Amino acid sequence: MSDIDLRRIVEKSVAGGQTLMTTLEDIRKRIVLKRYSITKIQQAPASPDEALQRLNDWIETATAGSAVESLAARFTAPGYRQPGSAVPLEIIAAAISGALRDLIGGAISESYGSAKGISAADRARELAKAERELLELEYAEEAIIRHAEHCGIDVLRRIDADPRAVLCSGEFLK
Amino acid sequence: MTIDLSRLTVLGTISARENAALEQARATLDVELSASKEVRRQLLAEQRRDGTASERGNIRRRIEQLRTKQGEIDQRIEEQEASIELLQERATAAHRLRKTCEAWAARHVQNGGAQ
Repeated sequence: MSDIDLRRIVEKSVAGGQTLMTTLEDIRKRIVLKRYSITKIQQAPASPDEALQRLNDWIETATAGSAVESLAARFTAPGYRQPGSAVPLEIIAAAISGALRDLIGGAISESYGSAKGISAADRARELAKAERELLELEYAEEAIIRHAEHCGIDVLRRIDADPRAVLCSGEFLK
Repeated sequence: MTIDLSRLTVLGTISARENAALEQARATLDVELSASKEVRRQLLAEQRRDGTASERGNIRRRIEQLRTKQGEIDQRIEEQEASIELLQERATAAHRLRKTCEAWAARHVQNGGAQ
């Protein structure tokens, strides 16, 4: 075998090893990015519609009950008894519910800034999709590592690798 | 997805291998530390020696040799300590991954077989 042939073999081998490590690095980078995108989906604020619905539900709960009617009945009762000097919280809430809705609703709208809200259904759908994609990346990484190990190449495994990928059967990875 | 529980054995082997490498490196460091201690002892002994005028030249040369030797050993100790730090990381990673996978398998895989 000539020197040129040997050099080509060495170059081919080095290139093969580099490709393997580069691919692994690339997959690992994509895993980090996917995890980041999952965190972003998890932490994204609720949609404006959902936030306003929550506000309305809360105001409705706070003003619920028959406090207003009961108080009004006091004044029309033939045997009048003056109400206590402290105004019940429900009455205050009922009296200012419109203003309260505008005030908190305005603050909610402002709080979004450039952020986009996401509905609960969309969040669940996007999370499921991102987690599926993440698992696919973990499978790909595991397949590369097993191939490297099969070739006798020592690869440092990630401490936080997904057990579903690490314990996956070789047949499935193929 | 199919789970292959024999992979736990492989992870155990990897963990044991990483641990063995770490122990080996620590043993090597111990040898170097002992050598360093011995050279330091010899150096002190030479520095305390009070020889005749003709012997002083030899003592100075001997001290120089021992200092050079100590420098070399210190360098190796430094390299060995860095290497141990890396090996420790690898051993910890392999151990934790094995533990995580064992815990996951215990939680998710019933009947003790592949799913």
